[in-house]
Amino acid sequence: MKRNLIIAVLVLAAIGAAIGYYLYQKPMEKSVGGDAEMVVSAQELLAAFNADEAKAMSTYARTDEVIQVTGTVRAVDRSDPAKVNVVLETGDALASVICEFEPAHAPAWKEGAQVKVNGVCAGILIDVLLQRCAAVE
Amino acid sequence: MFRKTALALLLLPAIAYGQDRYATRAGEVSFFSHTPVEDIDAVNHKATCVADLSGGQIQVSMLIKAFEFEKALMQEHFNENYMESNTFPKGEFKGTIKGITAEDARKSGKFPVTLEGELTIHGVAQKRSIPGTIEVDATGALKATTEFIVKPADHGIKVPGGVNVAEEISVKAALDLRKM
Repeated sequence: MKRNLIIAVLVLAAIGAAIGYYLYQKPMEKSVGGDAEMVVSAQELLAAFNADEAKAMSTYARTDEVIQVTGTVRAVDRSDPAKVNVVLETGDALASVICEFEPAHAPAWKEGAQVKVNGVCAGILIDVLLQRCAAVE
Repeated sequence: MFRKTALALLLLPAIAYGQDRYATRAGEVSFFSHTPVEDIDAVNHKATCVADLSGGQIQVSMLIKAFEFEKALMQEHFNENYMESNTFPKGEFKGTIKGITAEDARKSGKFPVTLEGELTIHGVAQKRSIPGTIEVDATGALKATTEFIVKPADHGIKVPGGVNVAEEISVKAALDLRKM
């Protein structure tokens, strides 16, 4: 009885350790999977950050929360070898929503395309930044 | 604050400042620290920098959440536990740049520079004097590079006892600035 109990505890501990190790080593997802928590247009997203940055951070930029941004492609910037940056139109000449893709996950969009992007919002500098992006078909 | 200043610099007519303003929205900032258990390193591909060589001013800003780690848990702990990036979303440097003039930047060359100003991380500002290099290439673009140490404790970043975070973090920046 006692021996079985010891074995059971050891097995549970081993499973716990394995789960812990898996979580510790789990790589960061470079392109988000799954569904978005909410949908917002690029124009609305920039307007929200302009109106109240702290409020917009707590609404759209929660840790690891996937949002979907819709809009028109203003430009696709491939000048950085590490990333493909899809710039979405916001109606503001200087500021935009930048959707950062890994080259392997970058869609073949052209200027003027109507698109949907899933990603995690990091906040705003001059532009709103969406990262770990995945194109939504 | 950075956003308003940066936008103001971008919006001012070129005539008032000549052709001496340079900027990037895709600067690379990375940090590294070695501890006995493992190395910690992350990179940010979206640092924004605006430099006005006639006035000698420079501002660099980056989103803390834009630092990418290889391991998901490390990135989560960095944001949630150490940097509290929901409360302090940005890291910023604001100051002056000495060692290069607007005139210098009109020809190719390599200039040792010093950035003097305030480095704000986790909402805590520290006065810093940071050496770096600016290389002016044939197209008139500036490549600014620097490497310096940041101590988390100097910026109020609390690390629970026994946790594997180094006392000194080595930060590198490489910013390709184009004339505006």
